[in-house]
Amino acid sequence: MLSNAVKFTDQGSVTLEIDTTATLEQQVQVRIKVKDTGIGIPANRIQHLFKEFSQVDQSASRRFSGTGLGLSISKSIVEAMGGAIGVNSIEGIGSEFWFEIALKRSLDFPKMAQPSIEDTRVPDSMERDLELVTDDSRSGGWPQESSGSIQVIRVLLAEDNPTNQMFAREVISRQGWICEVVDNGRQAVESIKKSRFDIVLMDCQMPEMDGFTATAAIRRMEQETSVPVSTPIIALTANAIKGDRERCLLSGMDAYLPKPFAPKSLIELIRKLVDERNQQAGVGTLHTMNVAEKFEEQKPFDETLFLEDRCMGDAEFAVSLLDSFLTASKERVDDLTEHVKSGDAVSAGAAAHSLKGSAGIILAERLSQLAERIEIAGNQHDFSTVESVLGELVNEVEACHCAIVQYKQKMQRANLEVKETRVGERVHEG
Amino acid sequence: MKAELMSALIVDDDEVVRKMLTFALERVGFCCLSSRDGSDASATLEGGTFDLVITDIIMPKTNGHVLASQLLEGPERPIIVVHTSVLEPKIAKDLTLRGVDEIVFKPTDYRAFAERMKNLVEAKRVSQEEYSLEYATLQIKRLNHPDPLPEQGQDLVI
Repeated sequence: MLSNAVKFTDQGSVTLEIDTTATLEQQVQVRIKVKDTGIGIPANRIQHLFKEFSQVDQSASRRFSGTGLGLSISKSIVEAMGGAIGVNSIEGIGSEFWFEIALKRSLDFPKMAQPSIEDTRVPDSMERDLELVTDDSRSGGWPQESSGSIQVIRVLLAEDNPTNQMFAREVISRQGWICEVVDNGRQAVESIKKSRFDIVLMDCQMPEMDGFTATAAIRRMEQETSVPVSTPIIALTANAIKGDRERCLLSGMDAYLPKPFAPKSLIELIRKLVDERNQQAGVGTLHTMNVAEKFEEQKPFDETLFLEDRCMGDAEFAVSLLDSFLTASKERVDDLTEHVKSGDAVSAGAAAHSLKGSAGIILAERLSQLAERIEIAGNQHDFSTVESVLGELVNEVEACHCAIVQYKQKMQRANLEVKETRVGERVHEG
Repeated sequence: MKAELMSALIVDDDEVVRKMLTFALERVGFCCLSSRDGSDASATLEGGTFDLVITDIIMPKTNGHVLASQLLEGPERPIIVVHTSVLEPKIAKDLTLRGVDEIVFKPTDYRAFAERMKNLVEAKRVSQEEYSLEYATLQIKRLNHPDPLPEQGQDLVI
């Protein structure tokens, strides 16, 4: 809503108002209003506004790009939360969008993240790894680390796609970290010269100077100035093809995160690399460990290899195969549990054998190994081993299912993003 | 003229395996059908001929050993490939003696497997002169459109 308001307002102001309209013991009714002095909405368009693919100006030569999906998505989200959404507007004067939702009251005062320092360039003289000491007794209800201190990480994001910029910045800012955004590799090199960053997120394909060249330039610069520890650089790339990773590592990047990525993966990877860098700070050695790879090994199934190798890059097939795996593995686990209940080790082994096969196809290594243990034990009539491994296997299947569901969501988001970009491109061409 | 369409029947009780094989084979030019067990496969085989049958061994109802043996006895049999993760040496030997074209053990490199299957079918087509490439196409066409056979020498219009 805020970005809409800014987009459609050339002059005047955009105001955000948050108010409570009713306060109960357990919950509070919150009304959030975004007022602008922008172009407004003609009366005959207002009723269509929350529908999909709706924009006030539908003509090809319209001034404002976008999919027309934003408000319809907002409406779905608000309604899913049991709230209401609406708008008052006068054409040429401005608009006032609002929504109202009921939120649970918390008795604890939340531990705050570093407030509103996003985009502030930190001068070189500022202490690194600034720590904010908070009162532990007040912490609670806030999904942050409970260590009592928040490490502010300064991130440089080099990325030319505005949607990706917005997404990564949002993820980083939510951690209370600082994110500076540049549009290409050349600007990234310039920024590194001027300021110090804890980590760089580098898109590989960018106009003017790509990520590989920029990384090589930064590494050269670091060597020339003999910095004790190099700044970790994470490659972000949409085409997770084999060889790309090698190219990233060769050009001097430390880790590799294929797009689309989950916020959690990005945050964990940043934390890991920054922590490692800090540990090395005294030692002064360069680190070339591929943390992304290590990170992926812990996942229930190898997403990248699955898509690129097994499914030969065909995302649609990947999703369909995973769907089959979800159904098949559930059936096998049910069979397996049933056989264990009835004390039939051999049949349990057979069910585990089948599960091992499917798990192998989707590259779920741990699950495959657990299934094999049950299979072998079953064939040897070793019922106690079958029984003891079963719990672990059931947990692993659940972990696989969660990972698959998340992966599918990620793919859908990526798909949507591609579509949005395409719609946007068409608008510009028109 | 080179017949591009190759047909394969995939027999496996695991849907994930069936899908994976279908996907890999289709990428190299096969047209695939699949069955979940030996009886299901026999019914499908009655309805048409295939260049290639890939079968698992351990399956409910009719197992792969029975299916392969039946197929091997029939005339103008397809290429038969056993795709399995475990096989007792005795059964493997028996299958080989009966004439199974290949035994492939899981886990499988599906890309290489599909290429290998394509080569097998192409090699067989080249080696059998009377079963010419044109005739293979003709036969597939006839299954879908049971028109009368054209006279010898008459061009086939597709």
